[in-house]
Amino acid sequence: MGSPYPKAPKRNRPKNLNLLTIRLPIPALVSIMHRVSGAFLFILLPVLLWVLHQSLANTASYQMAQVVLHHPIAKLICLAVTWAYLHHACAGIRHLALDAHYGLRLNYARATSRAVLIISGLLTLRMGIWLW
Amino acid sequence: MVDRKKPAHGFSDWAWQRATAITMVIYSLLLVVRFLVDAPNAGFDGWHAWFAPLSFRAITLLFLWALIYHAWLGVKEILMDYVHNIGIRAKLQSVFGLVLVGDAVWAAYILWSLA
Repeated sequence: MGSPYPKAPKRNRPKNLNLLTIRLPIPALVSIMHRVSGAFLFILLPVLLWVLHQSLANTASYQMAQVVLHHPIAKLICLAVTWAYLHHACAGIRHLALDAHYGLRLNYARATSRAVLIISGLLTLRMGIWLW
Repeated sequence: MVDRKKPAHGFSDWAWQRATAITMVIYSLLLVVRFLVDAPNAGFDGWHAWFAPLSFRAITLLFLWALIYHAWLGVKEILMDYVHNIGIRAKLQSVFGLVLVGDAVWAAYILWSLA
């Protein structure tokens, strides 16, 4: 006895799983960036705690932390952390609004997604100006 | 793994994720306001003195613990989505969980070894 269900017709649909050619709707982009930024901050957390520790332990470690943070690569990492934190926070606040049933309509969902990208982007830019 | 005998499990993760998030937003705003109205003096002494008040260290530790617990909930969620082998997922959860417990102890040590 075979399957009691009729066989699914064979389809030759094009598969498009190339991540570089998939264009995400903007709420989906904000959503995946929320996840990636969270994971990034989790990975960087020990580094950030280390900097805080060195900056507060004693004069010598403070100066060492200062030298490290003045390195251009360290500044770039600071900027990336800032962006990740701000994006995660803004997208998170948007999530809280969605939990409370605000902004569920598609046009609002798109507008608030764009707002998350713009606000976190501008605040990161402000931080970048302050860092350099 | 979700324990089906405890139906509150999912809700409490959901609620804790939001409670810790709101704690972090409030602390972040307070931190920015304090930087604007009461910036630390330059150099180690100024920075160290900025962390001296017990109230500031207490809310900073509260923030860091909220962040760490929030990270734990996020890590679990990401592992549940991408690691389908339960044995491997359990091991990864233990490793990341231990890292976060270490972070939590370290955060307390940093802020309370200042005296």
